[in-house]
Amino acid sequence: MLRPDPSLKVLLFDIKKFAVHDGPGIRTTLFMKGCPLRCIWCQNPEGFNLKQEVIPLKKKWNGNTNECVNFSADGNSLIHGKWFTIKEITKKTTADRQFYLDSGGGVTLSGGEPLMQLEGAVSILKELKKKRIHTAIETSGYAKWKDFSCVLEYTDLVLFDLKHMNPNVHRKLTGVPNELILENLSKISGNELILRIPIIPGYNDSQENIRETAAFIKKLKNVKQIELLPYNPLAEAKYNLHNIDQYPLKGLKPPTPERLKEIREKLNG
Amino acid sequence: MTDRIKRLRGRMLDKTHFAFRTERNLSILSEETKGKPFIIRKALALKKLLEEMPVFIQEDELIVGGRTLFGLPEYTKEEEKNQIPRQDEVLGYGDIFNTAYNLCQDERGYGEFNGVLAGYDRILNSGLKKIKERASLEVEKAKDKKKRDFYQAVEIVADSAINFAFRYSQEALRLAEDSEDKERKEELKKIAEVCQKVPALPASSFGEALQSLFFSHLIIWAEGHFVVPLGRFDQYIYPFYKKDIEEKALSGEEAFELLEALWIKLNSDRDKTHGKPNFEGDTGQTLTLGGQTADGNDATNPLSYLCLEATCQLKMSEPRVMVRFHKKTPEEFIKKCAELMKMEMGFPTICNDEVIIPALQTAGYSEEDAEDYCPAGCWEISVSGKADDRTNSGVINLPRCLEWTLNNGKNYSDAELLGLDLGDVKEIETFDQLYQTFKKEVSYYIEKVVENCNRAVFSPAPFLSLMMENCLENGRDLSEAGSKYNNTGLLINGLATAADSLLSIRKTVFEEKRLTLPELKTILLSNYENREDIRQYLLNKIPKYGNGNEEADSLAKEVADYSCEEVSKHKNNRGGSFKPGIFTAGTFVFVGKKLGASPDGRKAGEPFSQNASPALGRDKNGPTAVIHSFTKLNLKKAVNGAIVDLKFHPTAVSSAEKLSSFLKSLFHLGAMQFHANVIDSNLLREAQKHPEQYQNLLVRIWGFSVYFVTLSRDFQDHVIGRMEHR
Repeated sequence: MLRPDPSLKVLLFDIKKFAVHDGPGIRTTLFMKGCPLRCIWCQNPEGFNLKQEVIPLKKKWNGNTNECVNFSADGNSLIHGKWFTIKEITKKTTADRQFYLDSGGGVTLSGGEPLMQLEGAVSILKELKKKRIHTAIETSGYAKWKDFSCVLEYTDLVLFDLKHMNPNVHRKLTGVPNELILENLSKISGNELILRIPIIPGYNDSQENIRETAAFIKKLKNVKQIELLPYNPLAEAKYNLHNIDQYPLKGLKPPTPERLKEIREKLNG
Repeated sequence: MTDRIKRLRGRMLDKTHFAFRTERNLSILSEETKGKPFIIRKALALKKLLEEMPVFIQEDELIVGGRTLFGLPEYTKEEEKNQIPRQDEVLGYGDIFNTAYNLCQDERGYGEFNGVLAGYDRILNSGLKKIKERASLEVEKAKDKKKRDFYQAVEIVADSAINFAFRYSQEALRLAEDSEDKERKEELKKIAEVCQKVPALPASSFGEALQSLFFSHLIIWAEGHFVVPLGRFDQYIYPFYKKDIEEKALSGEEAFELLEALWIKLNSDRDKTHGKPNFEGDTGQTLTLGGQTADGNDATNPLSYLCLEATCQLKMSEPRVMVRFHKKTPEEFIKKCAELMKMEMGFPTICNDEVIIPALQTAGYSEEDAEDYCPAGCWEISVSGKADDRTNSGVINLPRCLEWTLNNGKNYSDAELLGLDLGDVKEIETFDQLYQTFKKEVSYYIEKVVENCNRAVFSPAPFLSLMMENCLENGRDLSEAGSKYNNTGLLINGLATAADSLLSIRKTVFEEKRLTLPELKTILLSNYENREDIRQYLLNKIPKYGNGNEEADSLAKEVADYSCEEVSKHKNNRGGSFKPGIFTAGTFVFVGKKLGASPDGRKAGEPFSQNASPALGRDKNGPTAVIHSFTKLNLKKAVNGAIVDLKFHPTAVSSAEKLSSFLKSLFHLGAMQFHANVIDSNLLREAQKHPEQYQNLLVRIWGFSVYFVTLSRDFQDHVIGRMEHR
């Protein structure tokens, strides 16, 4: 059992208030930095590494900085990631309590992979549950069950990413195998579950993979909903911004609405 | 939507009724009339206008009428004209709106009764004939000449209105005779019957009530008032609706068609608003739905929902929908409001009874009247049929006061001393000293505006007066402070810009000592020339109102408190008080253009903060943080109203449930008034490129929604900027 420590710090790369796509109601989503996976379609490459990163700007920056992204002293770089104490996070997230109450919303830990900062994640969730705020995590499920279950204890809803059923392909697409992930997913019993399935044309949308995914889902209990996340080509701009040289999916088109509908029917069928 | 409604809507958008408009140079002045009292001449002017106004009925119409002739005939004598304190520069939203009174003056220099909520129910329920009879009796009895003149004027205008409707009745009969379509023939005969009856007699059906209302409404415009709100429509019209439905005199579909026909009609004269440049769409045709009844129960009824539905279906800019939320507002109503909000028209504005009613009571309104409040015009709070609250009488420009604080009472762009010269900034050693100087400038500014408002001269308004409680009873015109409440509303402007600027000074000059005050002043005078570094620092490193930041919000609260208290302590010359509101109308753009650079990083000429909202682009923590900052203000002090603008991309409010729960939270947190624009800025850019394809695209700019393509480029860009900054 982990002991929550209020002086503990967590590294975030964004805090999104009025988040309406990361679980029920109106939420605050905390984007925790660091991820063991390297999905080739990842939309949040700034969440890869569990450390502050100084990224030199190629050209003048006209966008907004946010609480977690700041200019370096000379103004020529952006510093991604900011450390917050659990206390600070609790204060920030409980500010919107009325909005959670009226909407059935709450707080979602996302990333990156929230399980990477295990103690931090548990501490935040535990504090929120003390205040009776609805909690959710968005996770790849890639962690030791012992660790994962600590988080689940204080989590109401798990948004679980299911990326590919074949271990070898999964490793190719994400950098890690999938056995642990699937095993963890099967073990979840005391939490509501929403499955999130990215649809990356040509990579994980083969008939075979969809069929196997559907078969696997059938065996699960607690699944409240299946959400498809169609590939988003806007990620490419982010890779350029973050000076991550190679964007592996250059030029890939998102799936058509018809194809999405077809997949949705198969998975729900 | 029935086929008829589709056709009527199409015709209105094509402006086919413009063909009936005409121009005439009229005067009622003759040797005989010149000797008559002023109020009688005014009544005769309205009479003449209505007599000369061509009548018209278009195909398919169910509700008839419309103005075809504009501007009252000449009724003032040369010597009278010279007595009016003319301020031509304040006609409409001029450059110095800061010193206007009651929005603007009419073409003769008189103040306008803009935003007076007429007691339509008086005409609907008593009919003008009875009101006229009462006036005639009083004429006999009255010993006081002024009273007698007033009642005579009422007789004249009541008769004129009845005759005007009668001409419509005649026209309908004429058309019925010519009509070869049997069904239409019957409809026209029915219209003739209705127009013969109302507004002379009490309305006894839903259709008659709507027709009576529309005639009364357009005659208020004809009398020379411009911002003409409709009040609590779902309350005073509901009994007529209920009766017809219960007695099966009307089917639900027929009633809805009539309602939609009225909605379309209310779009007739969007182009004929006040001022120069006239702002198409600033009609003030606000109607209020929901809220509570006198006994504290929920006031929504089936008609409230039909009104929302009509607005959803028609997608036209008029009438503007306001809703009142209170503790017992049904979920279903809130959800319907969220659905309308999602339609991307800028409707509805939401008012919070739990904040507004106590505020009005503190300001001297009786409990019963406070519970019956409704917004007049844009958001300004008043009560129907009882108040001449002149809710838009003048502007207190806070960023300007700060400019004077730093520049010896002068504008940066001007050598004239307009404010107080309280010494050079070199002498200021502490923030508190600066803040005290700022407060003195604010108080001085308010005094000047108050003096100006108290000098205003209003032309009599016998037609509007006959609908107002106390005027008819006591024989006193509105212009003689005849109504029950006679307050004056002022608008506190640029709150966020001023507060953010003050915080910038406190931090950079007095805490961090990054700059001296004279250095800062030089930078502002040069409009940040070659000092983009400082500007970026001020923009990005100093906390701003609207982010839930304690430091910034408490300063904004202090400034708001002080300004509201200073306004409230003044009395007007009509036995009423001055009421503060925190909102801006269009001044944030118009007056922003004249304002020098401000210490929050705003460049000279840029808009300042709108309403009680954060300055443009300064709120970076999303809508919930904006609400936290807004609700930290003592909103109950802003008894004239305080509103915050929220902007959403459509994807951010994809579900009506989430938006509706958000609205509930705003209510629970004590937000006074709020509205939202839900729209995609890319769509607006497309509309700029291809205006012809986006003729009907509505956006909300301040108190009202306008067709985006009719806006000037700077307003279009501002709206887009608002959408994009996140």
